[in-house]
Amino acid sequence: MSPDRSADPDHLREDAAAKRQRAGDVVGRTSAVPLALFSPCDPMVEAKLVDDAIELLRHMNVHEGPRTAEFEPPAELPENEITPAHMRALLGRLPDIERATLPDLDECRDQERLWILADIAMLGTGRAAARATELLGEGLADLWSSDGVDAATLASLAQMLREADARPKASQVFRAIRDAAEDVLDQKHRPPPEEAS
Amino acid sequence: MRAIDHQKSAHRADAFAHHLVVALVNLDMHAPTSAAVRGSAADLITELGKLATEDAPLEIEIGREHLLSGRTPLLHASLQAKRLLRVCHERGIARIAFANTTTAAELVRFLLLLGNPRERDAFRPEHVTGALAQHGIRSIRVTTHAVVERPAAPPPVDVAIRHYQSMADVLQTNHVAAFKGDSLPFDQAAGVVEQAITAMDQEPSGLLTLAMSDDIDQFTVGHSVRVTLLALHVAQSLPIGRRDLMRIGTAALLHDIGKSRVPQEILFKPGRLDAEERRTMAMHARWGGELLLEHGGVDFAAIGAAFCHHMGPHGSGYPARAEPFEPSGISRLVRVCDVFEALTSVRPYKPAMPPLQAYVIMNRMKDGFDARWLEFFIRCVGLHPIGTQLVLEGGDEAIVVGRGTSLTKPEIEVLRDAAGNPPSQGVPTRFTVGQEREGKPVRIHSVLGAGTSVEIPPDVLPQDPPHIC
Repeated sequence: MSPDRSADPDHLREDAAAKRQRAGDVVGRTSAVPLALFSPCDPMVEAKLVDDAIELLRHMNVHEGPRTAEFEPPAELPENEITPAHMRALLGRLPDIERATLPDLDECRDQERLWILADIAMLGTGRAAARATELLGEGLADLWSSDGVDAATLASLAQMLREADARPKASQVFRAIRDAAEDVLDQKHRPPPEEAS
Repeated sequence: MRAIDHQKSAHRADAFAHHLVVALVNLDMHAPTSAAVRGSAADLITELGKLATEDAPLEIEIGREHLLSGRTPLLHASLQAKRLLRVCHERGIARIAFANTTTAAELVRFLLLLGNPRERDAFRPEHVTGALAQHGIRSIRVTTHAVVERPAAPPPVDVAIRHYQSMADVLQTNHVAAFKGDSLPFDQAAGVVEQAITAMDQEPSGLLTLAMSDDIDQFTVGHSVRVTLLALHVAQSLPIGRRDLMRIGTAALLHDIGKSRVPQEILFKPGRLDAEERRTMAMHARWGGELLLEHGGVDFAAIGAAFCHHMGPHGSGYPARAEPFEPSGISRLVRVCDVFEALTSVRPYKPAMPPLQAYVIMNRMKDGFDARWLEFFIRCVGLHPIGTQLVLEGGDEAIVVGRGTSLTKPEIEVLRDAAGNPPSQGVPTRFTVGQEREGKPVRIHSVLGAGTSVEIPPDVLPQDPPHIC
């Protein structure tokens, strides 16, 4: 039966030194951080590295999280070849094309504005994100009163901002916008005050 | 044979002049030693090798609105040449001659000298030869006007070219500013759009003809100008005022501004992009929206068009976004114009395709477009727009010259018979498709593009298409 090395203080020190050496080698191979700056066996260093990694992943998740639409760009340009069936499909629409009515330029204008601002506020960078957040906060009530944005859209925005709030980088401004969205919703759903008789 | 040689030579001179314009813009954006500038200089030397001989240098003349070679206007290069023309006019340059011994380094030094506002005096007639020699430029000769002429009022076709050039110039300036991170001169964009609207009111076909021009796009500038002209043409059919026309034109003009942040080696890669490059390219829509938003002072329709011009209905397309939403009417219009222009113009990876083929492909892209905007676009631009080249049943070649009585029955002009001979004098050449000609109704056999042709099988044509009211 081999002796229990862990019980021997001298062996314990040797094992600890070997572990420190191995940890130093691993960190030296995988990191550019100068080893002299910290002890590789310091548990606080490991904790800090884990925190940083998690923070990094959270930042990455802002772009790839579950609410972000998955985008895989098309692998190639649309095939240029066309068949008589394709031609027939277009020419079959000619009666509709000849009678095509004038589409509405202002259709979805307010929703587009709202969602682009919300999107850039959450996923954008630098000045653009700050400007979008500012405009979103300022313009929410105006957008609502313009009748271009419906309650479902606003509720969806509030939900999105609520989820953003759970992320580590959610700012006070996000919360302010969410609160504004919810205020506007509250006002809309509040029963009208009874008229004085 | 001599005519063909002359045509080829003019085409090559056009390519050289085009690279000259590209090199001048690249020098605005990059260091003289950068890959972009070195690439432009190498392209110029390659083209020069095809054109100049030991005895005959390549001469580029500086006209009022055009660059010329042998008195032939270099139309495609001229469309984006306003900056080069302006610089040359300011220095009184009449002609630049490039010997076949010109090196890439000489070209770069010459363009640096030409583009430097503090070196204007170097081009004074009494200084120019010495100044070029002083800068080590021995293979390029410059002829200057003794007195710089004030340009007279241009003929009508040049008015359209001038407006096209102005839009291209403003876009070049905006792209260069965006690339460098400088503030963007948006007000200039609105100004040139307003001028274009006025020009389209006065002479509707002039600018629209240029919208179908297929010059090879170097800075996405030509593409954006043509998208603008198409969008304005469609928008003019809508019951809207001038203010809305301006919003649409400006949105279309700036829709690709985000491409100024895409690395040039990806933007102009001649081959197919890999997945990572496509992902980077796809970011241009988001970057465009952010760029316009952070600079402020631009109508939100332009931000919307920049952000949404690759988005289809029901959440399809890109950029990836936090929540799917439907784009506005203006963004949907810009999208249709954008795809149509991309399909019908020359790209490094494909020839121009005829409009009919583009429509068939767009119609095939399920969920690609709002059907109402696609239908309205085809109705406004036409199934066979003016200028489309056709082959008639029997083999005669013709060109569309008018809208005719319906989308499938445009007015045409017969250009030559099946053997390639022009029509005999006195024989009628103008017809509407379906009209009797020599006892038979005129029918379209196929539509011609640049190096392609699309056959229309007789059985797929509607029997009795309704007429436009």
